[in-house]
Amino acid sequence: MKVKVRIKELVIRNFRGFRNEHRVVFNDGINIIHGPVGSGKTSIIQAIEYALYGTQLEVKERISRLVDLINEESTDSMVRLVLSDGSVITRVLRRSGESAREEARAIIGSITVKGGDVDRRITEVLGVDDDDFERFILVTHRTLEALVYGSVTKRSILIDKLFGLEILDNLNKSIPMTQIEKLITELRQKLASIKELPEITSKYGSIEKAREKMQELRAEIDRLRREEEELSRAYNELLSKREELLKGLKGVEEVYSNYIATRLRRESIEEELRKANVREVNETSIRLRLERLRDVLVEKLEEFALVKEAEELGKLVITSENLADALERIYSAFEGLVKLKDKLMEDRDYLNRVRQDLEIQTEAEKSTLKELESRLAQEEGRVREYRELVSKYGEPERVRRELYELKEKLEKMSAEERFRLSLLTVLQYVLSTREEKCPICGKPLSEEDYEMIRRRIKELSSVEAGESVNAIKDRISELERVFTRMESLRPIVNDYEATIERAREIRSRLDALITRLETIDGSIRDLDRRIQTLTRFIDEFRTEVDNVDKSIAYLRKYRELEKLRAQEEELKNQLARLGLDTNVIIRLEDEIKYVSDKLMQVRNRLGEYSAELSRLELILARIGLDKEDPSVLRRRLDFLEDLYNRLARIRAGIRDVQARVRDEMIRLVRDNVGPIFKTLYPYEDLESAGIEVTVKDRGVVGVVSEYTLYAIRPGGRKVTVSRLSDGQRLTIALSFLLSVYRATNHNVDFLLMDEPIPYVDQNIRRAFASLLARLVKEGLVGQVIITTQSEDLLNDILDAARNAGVNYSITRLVKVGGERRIEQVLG
Amino acid sequence: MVGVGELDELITRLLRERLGNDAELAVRLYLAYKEKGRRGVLEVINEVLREVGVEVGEGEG
Repeated sequence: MKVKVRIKELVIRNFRGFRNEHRVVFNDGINIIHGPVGSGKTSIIQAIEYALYGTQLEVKERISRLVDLINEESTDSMVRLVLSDGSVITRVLRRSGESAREEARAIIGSITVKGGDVDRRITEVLGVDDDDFERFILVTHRTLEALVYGSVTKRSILIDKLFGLEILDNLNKSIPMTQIEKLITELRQKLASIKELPEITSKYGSIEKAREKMQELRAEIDRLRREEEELSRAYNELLSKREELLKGLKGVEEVYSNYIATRLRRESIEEELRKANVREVNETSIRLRLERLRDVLVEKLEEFALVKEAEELGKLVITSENLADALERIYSAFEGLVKLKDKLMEDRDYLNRVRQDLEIQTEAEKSTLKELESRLAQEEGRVREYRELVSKYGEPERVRRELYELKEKLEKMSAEERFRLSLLTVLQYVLSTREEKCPICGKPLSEEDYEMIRRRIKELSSVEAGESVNAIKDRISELERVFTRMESLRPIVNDYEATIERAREIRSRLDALITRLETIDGSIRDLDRRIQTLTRFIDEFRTEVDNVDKSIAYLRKYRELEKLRAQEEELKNQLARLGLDTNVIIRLEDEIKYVSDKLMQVRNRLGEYSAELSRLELILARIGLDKEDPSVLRRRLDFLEDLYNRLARIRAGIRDVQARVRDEMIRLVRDNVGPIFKTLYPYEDLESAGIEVTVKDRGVVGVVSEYTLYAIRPGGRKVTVSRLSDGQRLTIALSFLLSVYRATNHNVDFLLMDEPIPYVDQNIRRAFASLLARLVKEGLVGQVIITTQSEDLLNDILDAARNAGVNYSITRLVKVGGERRIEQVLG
Repeated sequence: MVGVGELDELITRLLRERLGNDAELAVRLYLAYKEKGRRGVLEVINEVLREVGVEVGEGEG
């Protein structure tokens, strides 16, 4: 097991506010660095971190630069740190323009290391790197404040940081999604402009001409604006003239405005009818046309089996008074026919889809059949060979049987032959040796026996067995060859026959498919015919309905026109009675109308030209000066979209990983918080503490983790930190910090506390001092180095240390003028 | 107990488990962020983007 490391001595020269060389000795137990604001307390802490890691929290957070560690009146600085295991680290910083060069050197386990190796070796010795060091060795007021008094969000952010999870959050925030999104949008716009480009060139001839057009439009818009201004002025003058005319004539205004409105309405209707070339509207003719429409529609509805609708429509009586209603009813019945056409088209589409499916199936079957037929053609020769063999030798079973029988026969004949030859040999032997006795049975042999032997030898020698045996052997050999060939051909023949069977099935399926296709074709043709009939009818009918509708509208206008003329005459008389010359009025109103129309035209043209100009400006600006190939842009867009999706997946993955690491860290820390709390908290009202995490979906903000620190009352009831006293909160916060410290596998036995609780009241101060003494006394940590500007906290810590019997030392920092001094008192 | 570097190992292992084909890029981004912060992340992304001739800058989101 490695020895846990504490800090023994720090020597600094020209470091930050300290000029010349200063030395601080640290002991086990509590080391208090006390001094007023600006006396250099934090510099001591910074020097320790810098000596260990060659960097420092403020430098990493870019609040200051490495060169700022050198005293501003010096060109170099030195920091030397001695650790309890004998390691000595020395770092010298030399100013070099706006930056600083560092020389690092360390003696670790009697071995000297230099340069970059120093950081690596120190990390190995301590078992924590600079990030870990800042997370749980270096405790600042930010840490304790957030844990003790922070909101749930603030506390959760800090705990994530302590767990080393903040980095994942920051990583997610660092991924430039917005920029990539912007690049994608720009590319999409560029590609869209490129699509619009042919339209622009076909309209204006070329980009240059489009640019010329832009200039022309700008000039024209300026001219129209001037014209609009003049017309507006003229219009306002005419309105003033009208006002002047009416001034002093009591009660004339209403009649005047009615007269003008009636006249304008009358003129507008007359103009409309004139433009439509309507000179006369005949009610009877409209009625007759409607009746014809009704009858034609009834006939068509019946033809398409819409009997109920036909019957209803047939009852419609059309008079001069209900022309519009009648048209409405005819149109509503007509819509039934339109729906029917839509339905028929849907049916046709469905059948077409079915037909397509069937065609695909047919094609598939045809292709399978073709493949099978080609296989059959390939194997035909071998099948023929097999069949010829069968016709010559019989089925393979029969060949096999014959072979068996022949082999049996051959075996028997061979045995007989062997016996004949043996007997012949024995007899020839007996004859040649003239034995007295038979060598086999021992019987004496007479001349008669020898005679018989000679006869027998002659008989045996005359047998010609050889030929028949050979004939059988030849036959066996032939049959074996045939049988082997048949055996090798049989699977091919079986497959051939199965293929024939399959081909037959496919042909039959193909026939069925073709029949179905023909039926469907017939149905589609029938539907086509009906749809065509209906479409023609609908188009013609709709045209006629529109015409009748227009005629009815004109009829209404005619009726209105008659009323307006009478009304206008009456109002004219009234004005004359009121003393107003209607001719003057008409001239004035004509002028107003003329100017107003002109103004309207100018404004319309202005709107039209401005829209065209904006469109041209936008497209030509997007095209810009680059002439990149659209395919390159397309590829770039695809690439960026793919990357964006990948990064989105990565961000989601990082959030998942963060949750899993969090679970892991909570698991490691949870078991420590309770026992540490119990050690630090001496009272009976709370018996343990713990931490929980809940993950909440905060909509736009996303998924957030919320940590709850809580204490446990005797009996097991949980009390959240917000309901506890300041001292209790402080104890839980320190318990949690120490549990993270202990859950981490390192060799550090000290804590650095840089002004951990500024501006707190007496109760918290004392509670904190007592906690410090207790955590050292209970062996939770061997050495604490704490800075404070508070004389009260200093005294409270001294009291607590003395009461607990814990070692302490005081380092007083004194600021005299621009100079800083260090005075040390050992406890 | 979590030792020095073990948190990194845990995070990279979980990223690999979770992200399949995207894991390699995710781990590169993580390590780049650890080493150089946001600048490191942008360097990795720009390295990827070099293939299509565009880049992202430090000043924007």
